[in-house]
Amino acid sequence: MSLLKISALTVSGVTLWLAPPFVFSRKIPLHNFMQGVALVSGFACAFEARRCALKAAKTEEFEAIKDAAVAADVVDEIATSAYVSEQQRRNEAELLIASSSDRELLERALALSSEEENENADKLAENADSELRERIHQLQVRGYGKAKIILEIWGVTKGGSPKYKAAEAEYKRLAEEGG
Amino acid sequence: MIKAIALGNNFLLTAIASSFLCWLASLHSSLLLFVQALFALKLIVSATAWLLDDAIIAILKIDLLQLRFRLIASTVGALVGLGVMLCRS
Repeated sequence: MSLLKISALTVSGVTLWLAPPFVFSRKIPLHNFMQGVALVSGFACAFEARRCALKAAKTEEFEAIKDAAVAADVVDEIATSAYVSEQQRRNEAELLIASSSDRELLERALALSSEEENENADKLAENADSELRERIHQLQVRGYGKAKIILEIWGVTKGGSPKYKAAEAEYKRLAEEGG
Repeated sequence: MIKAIALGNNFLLTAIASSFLCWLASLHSSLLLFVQALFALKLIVSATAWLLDDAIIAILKIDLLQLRFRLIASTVGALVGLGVMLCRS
């Protein structure tokens, strides 16, 4: 719209400047006066066209600056988001590395504690065996027989029960180890 | 494009003003003298500005090329306006 107006005013200015001197005949009444009026009008048209053109040029320049600023903002935003995502990825990677090292530490600690537990269990079992052996030995010194010792220590009476058989086997093992 | 149109209109303004002065000169012999004096003054001012271009560009805060372009464009515009009125029917 602005360009159309500027063009129309420019063309009008040129027409009003050039047409009267070459087109108006001297036979036309007041031709000299008409020429002056046309020249003034042409000057006014050219002046208005120049004013509009300068205004439009300024607006165009402003729009170009605005576009450049928007483009710079977009570039800045993209760079910021890329930086943030990179940092986030790095943090996640660091966390992952830290958690894997924690896991390794835990596994190592678990392995160590289980070894200790096994050793403790073995020691306890050995202690229990030696206590039982000593008790058996004491009862044998008192003159107790096998069935009575089994009854005294494991609390099972003589018979074919599985409990008695297990107690008897244990008694035999301890007696052999001790003997 | 718009800037070119603005520059073209500057030229047009100078030419129309020059034509208008010529039209004024055609009205009366004393006005003819007045317009001749005006054109002579314009010529002197242009020549002085061309010679004192360094001082002028410092005052107007424009570069040398722009000053020369303006001087040439105004002189050519004035001559074209004068020529149009001299060649009229």
